[in-house]
Amino acid sequence: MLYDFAKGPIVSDDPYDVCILGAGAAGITLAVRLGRAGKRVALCEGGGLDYEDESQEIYAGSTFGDPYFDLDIARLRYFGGSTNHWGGYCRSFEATDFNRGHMGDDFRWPITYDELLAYRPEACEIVEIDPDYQDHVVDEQLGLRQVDFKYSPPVVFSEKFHDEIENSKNIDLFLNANFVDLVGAYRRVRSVKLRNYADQELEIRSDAVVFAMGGIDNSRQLLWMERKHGAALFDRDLPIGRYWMEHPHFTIGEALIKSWDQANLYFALTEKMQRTLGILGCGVVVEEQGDSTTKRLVKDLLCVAPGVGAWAADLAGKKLICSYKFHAAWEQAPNRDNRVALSERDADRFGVPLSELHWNKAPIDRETMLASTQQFNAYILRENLGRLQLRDWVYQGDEYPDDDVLAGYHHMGGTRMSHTPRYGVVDGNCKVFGSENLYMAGSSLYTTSGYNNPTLAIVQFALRLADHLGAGV
Amino acid sequence: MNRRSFSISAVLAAAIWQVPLFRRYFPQRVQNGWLLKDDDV
Repeated sequence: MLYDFAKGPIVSDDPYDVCILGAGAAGITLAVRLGRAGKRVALCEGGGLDYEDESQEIYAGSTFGDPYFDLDIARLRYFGGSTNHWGGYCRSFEATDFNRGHMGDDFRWPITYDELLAYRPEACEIVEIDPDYQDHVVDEQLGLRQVDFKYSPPVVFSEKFHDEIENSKNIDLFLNANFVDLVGAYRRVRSVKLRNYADQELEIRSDAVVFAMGGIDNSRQLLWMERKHGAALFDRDLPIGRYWMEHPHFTIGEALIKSWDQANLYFALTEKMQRTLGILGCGVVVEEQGDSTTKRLVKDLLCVAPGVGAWAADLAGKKLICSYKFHAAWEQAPNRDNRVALSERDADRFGVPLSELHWNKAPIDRETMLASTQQFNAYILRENLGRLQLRDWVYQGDEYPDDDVLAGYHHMGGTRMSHTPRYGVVDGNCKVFGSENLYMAGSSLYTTSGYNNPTLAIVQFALRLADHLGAGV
Repeated sequence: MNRRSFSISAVLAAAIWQVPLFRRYFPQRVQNGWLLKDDDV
């Protein structure tokens, strides 16, 4: 059933088995799987079926540190969430990501790679991609491998599942129903308070509650609950909002490469090489450029290195050399100081403090990009394929440019999984430490970020949580 | 501060940090951003 709270008061058919707050990739996946399994689900979305300013402005906030996007344009707040504008790039975590205990306790996941991998085929089916990923090692010695990305159409979750949710006997979707409070005691949430834009209130009772409000608002709302309720509902002093992560995205340089058939493919380093170099994951995509760029690069190379420049000019005359742009997207080390915090100055229309995002890249993040680029360059030189020219800021050690892509709109961490409340907010079953029935879903769970786009794994984690909440029984 | 576990001694690590980050990974000839071999010029 579908209820639009904007149209006036609602009498809910509670209690529910599970109340899910947020209807994006995580919330919809979770609701559908639970509903199909016969569980009674309340799916609560702060926005409506379409974009509305009054909902979106609740995503406003402030950023501090490295240049970043305005928080109200970096995500969408209506049915379907950010799947209404995602790019469809699909690649999930790798075994390497779950095998970084040697980097320190804050890199340690409480679950195994295989526990997540088990849900990949079903997640691939949902986002409509081929589940068969064909990675292969290009050069064992240099640790270079080609990695396979899949492309979802992209699936917009609100379109794909609208009819099923509306017609479901088990799922009630509440639109324009903004989460404002939890009600409960003794570490157990009993009900959830929601409010519409006319300030009417709705209270829904549920056996379990799941925050699925995205990679920033899961932290914001949980911080708010801690401030309001202290230790009544979950443990105090959890690192809520902390270890927030993004994927830095920058153009590293350009290259002249002869007779190459690897354009527009993705490369990364092997686990062994990452470990040898003490770095994290970095993906490089090589994009073919036009003839004018090739001419410019040949001319430039002739000026600085006449020997190899003449070789490139000769090949260019025969159309046997091409120019390529190198883009990199890489993993950030989890850093406790990168965090979502509550604004002390600004609040949304419901009185909840707006988000403050404190985000900086660390030296190891830069090392990851540099070391990965060097391995790629070593391959180009050894195979005598051509020459790579780095951007000024890379080789001069300058600040990151602020006119590049910057990041991936990938909001990760903040309510991360851990084996201990010292390093995380939820346990391996996505349950908030100290709570009996409050859970988190979405990329805010990620202990580490890997270098791959987050959506496919969001769906995998949501399927896994659904099983934990009874769908798999 | 990152919590990586280094397999090298603290003394060696301190010495390495004196080397600019870029040069640590790109010791070869670099001209106008081009990563070159010695016999390129």
